Amino acid sequence: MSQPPARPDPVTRAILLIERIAAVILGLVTVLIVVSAIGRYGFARPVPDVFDVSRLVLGVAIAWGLASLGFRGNHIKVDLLAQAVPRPVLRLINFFAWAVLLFFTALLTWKIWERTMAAMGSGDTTMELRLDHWPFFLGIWLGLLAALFTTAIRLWLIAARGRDLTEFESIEPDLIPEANDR
Amino acid sequence: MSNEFLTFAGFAALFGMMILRVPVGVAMGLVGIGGFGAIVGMGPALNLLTQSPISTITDFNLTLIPFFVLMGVLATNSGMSSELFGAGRAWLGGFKGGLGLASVGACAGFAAICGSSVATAATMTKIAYPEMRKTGYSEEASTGIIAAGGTLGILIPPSVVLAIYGFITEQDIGALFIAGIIPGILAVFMYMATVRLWYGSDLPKGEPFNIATALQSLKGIWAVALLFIAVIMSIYFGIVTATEAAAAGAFLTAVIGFARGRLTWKTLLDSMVEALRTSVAIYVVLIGATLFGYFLTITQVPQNLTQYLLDLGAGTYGTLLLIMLMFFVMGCFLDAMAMIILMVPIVFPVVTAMGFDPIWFGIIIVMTVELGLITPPVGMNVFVINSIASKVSLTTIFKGVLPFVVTDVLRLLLLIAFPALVLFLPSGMH
Repeated sequence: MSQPPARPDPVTRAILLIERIAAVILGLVTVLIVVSAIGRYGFARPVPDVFDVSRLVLGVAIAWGLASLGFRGNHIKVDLLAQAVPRPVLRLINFFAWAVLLFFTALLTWKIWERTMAAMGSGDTTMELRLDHWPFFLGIWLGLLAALFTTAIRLWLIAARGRDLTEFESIEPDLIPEANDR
Repeated sequence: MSNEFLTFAGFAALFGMMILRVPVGVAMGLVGIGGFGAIVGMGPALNLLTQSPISTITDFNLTLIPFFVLMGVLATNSGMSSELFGAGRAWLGGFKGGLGLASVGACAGFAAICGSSVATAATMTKIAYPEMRKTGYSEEASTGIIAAGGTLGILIPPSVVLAIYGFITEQDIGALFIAGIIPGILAVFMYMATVRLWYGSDLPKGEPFNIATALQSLKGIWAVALLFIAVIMSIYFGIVTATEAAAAGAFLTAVIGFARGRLTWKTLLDSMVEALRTSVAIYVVLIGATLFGYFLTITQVPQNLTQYLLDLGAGTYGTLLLIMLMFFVMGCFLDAMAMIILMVPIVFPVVTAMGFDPIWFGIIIVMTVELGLITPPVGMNVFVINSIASKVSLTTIFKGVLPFVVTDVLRLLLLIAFPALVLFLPSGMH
């Protein structure tokens, strides 16, 4: 009898929730652009501010997606050396790589906070609806803050439990038996 | 500190970090800030981080990347690939080696709605590999055909890699997509010829051809045809922008998936999550590339490289060959996307200085990068096939794909000799 799938740990579930919210934002932006294109070409009435709103909202989704990548380890990286070294060395390499990522994320978080503060003071707005830029920038900054935490958690998992960066990179398991068993 | 030393130290740090698994975008970003800071001071260098990353992730022109990625993921999850293979089998299965030909055709059809080579190879391994093995194809032939067919994903439009090339070099992304059509069709025919000529004697006999089954199979691929026409033709005739076409393509794929009962809300959500993850990984490299660009500008690497290569006296085509060789060698180690983002800004001034057409060069360089997907040691398509059909060794797949590497080189030479094959269609765009 097959075992029921193990329930993911709280961090994985939190990451999945973040991803799903960001993914829904991506879906909504897709629909927004389609509706605006239909409005513009079909009825000469585009959705106002679609240019600014879609790019800013998508920016928020991308920033929150960074939180997912920081934990899952799916960044584009070169695995050539990692595949050739013994496990203890791999652990050191993973630790170094994610420590550098954590440092870079920390720099980004710091500097984008400054940018958010600057946007608050400058009163930058979108072209048509005059929506303030700073709430979008704040959304981006919060995503980066989340990325800082998730990257730190992954770093801890590497250091304390020796977890690899590829545990979420395998091909969906249901594909494998189908190709091999026939 | 001299410019030369700084350039050398910057590139050494970049490749050092990359080999130690630091995400490619992060390595590029840190070298960009560090190198820029070494010349103008760390204050101004760190201030790049206040503007540049936000500008990248909120750039409207880049929003087409997640949309095309989403379209590809939705097409994969809607099971369109099996219908393409079915149609290919019904029409080409009658020939000797028909399933191999059908696999190449199905890869091309899938590439027309999915801009990722890895996704095309993964999907077709699931569909075509078991069928080919059942009918007596060797492991070498069946995996080699799929690995090569998968590379069509980044050439036949829509192509995420071509879109990124367009963004980096400020070329019309629509024109780049249209330019990929004839080289893509050429690739299909050359791959099919390779299947017959190289594996010909070992291939099993064809299946009996049935016109009724063949006509019936066309019913299954209307969705793919509709999507390709809607997206690519609307770009070609200038009806919508590339970004709008990408969004409409993703939206239509979802609507068709629901209408045919192939998608549920759960698979839609999963597809969006998968598209988001892939897109964010690409954005990180783009953020890094923008920061790295400041380092390149201040150290004048592209200008110095241009001068160096022109002074070599290798002639325009000799220099082009050197550049392609550099991409090919790096493609053996680096991800295709990362390589385009890292290397194109460096060599693009050389290419334009030599008078080559930027659209043509985009196609040539994407085809060169394609080679990296099927050559050792880091042939991504080969690894993906190996991870699905794990009983087949990497060596067997690499051996199987070798004749297609030769075909790819011949195709590259053909397109270099006759640039009109690339530029003919874009020249007629509205």
